[in-house]
Amino acid sequence: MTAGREAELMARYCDGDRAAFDALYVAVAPRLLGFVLGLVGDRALAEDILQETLLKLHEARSFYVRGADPVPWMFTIARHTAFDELRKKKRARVRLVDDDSRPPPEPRAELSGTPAEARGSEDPVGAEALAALDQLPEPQRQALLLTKVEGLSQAEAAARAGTTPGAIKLRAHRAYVALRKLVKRS
Amino acid sequence: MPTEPPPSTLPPPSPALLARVDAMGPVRTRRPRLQLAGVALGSLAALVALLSIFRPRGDAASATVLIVAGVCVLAFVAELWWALVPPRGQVMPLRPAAGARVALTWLAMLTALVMAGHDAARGPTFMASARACLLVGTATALVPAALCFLALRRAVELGGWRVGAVVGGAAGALGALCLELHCANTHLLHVVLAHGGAALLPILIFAWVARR
Repeated sequence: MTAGREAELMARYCDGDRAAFDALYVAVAPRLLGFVLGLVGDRALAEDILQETLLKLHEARSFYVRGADPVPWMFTIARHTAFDELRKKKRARVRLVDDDSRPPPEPRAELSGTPAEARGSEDPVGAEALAALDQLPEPQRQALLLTKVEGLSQAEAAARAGTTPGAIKLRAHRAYVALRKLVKRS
Repeated sequence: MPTEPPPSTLPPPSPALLARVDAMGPVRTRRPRLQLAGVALGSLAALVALLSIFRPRGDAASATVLIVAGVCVLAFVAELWWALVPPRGQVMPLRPAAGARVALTWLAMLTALVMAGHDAARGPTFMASARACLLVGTATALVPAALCFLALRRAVELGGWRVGAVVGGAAGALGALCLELHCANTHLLHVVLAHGGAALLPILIFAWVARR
């Protein structure tokens, strides 16, 4: 779907057209879900974040500028919602550790949405890479997922991440170097 | 190729979202240029009102003062544009290198303030009105900042410190304009620290307020 078509759907959604919402949901929600899944690595949490993102989008419809491509804006909302959720989870994890004095199990990153147990030990290098991905700083991890996994251009990835193409290029490169080191070490 | 989950695995919209969508009506979307005009006019009206209280300096109509005031107005309008009007085809008013833009604009304004001429030997001392200038400048900056945050309330949490810094830059420029037209103290230290500081303070405060 082109940016022009999505802009038209968003404009109709702002006008109160229910059919436009349905069409926009079908067009954008899968991409948002894939993006959020790459960030949080947990299917159930990603689906919750998707719903939260769409609620925020609904509330923020009046901020939309007619004619503009709404997709990068939606991705920005999704990214911030995901980071807020991750922050909340991190705080909850710290509280759990304080209460029980024993570390909770670490969730594994899942790019495919398949549970780690189901994947088994088919691809040990892939499993190591996924585990190493968890250790990267969030901006680097996001840049790597957008450019190498989602296959976006640097400009598209920058628009989604709310930064410049130069910053995306640098973060993806640093993430790649760090990932290679981590996989080599393990 | 983008990795999308197959459509069959896409969850349906949540009941909470569906309830809101079912009950929705049309909303008025944002018109950035209209907002820009509104914020600029509102801020300039507030400036005129403040100058009627604080009174313009004696040589406010001189060419030098007017040139520096012009630089401040340009900085105010440019930063207001970056703060409110998104790049073509985008929703979020976020510009590349927003921090650098704000820093360079502030430096350009400070250079104009300093170049306008100062006479440390004859002028009043630095401390004479520095605190008052900081207060007047910051108070003036509150008006455009409040109007901008009202216009951008949905973007501030997404844009983070960059939105705050650009809004603060515009607000600070208006504060510096007010001081240029009001304060006759041309001591170099006073101009750099009190007037330049009054323009810098809103940038730091609002970038901190809007940070994530």
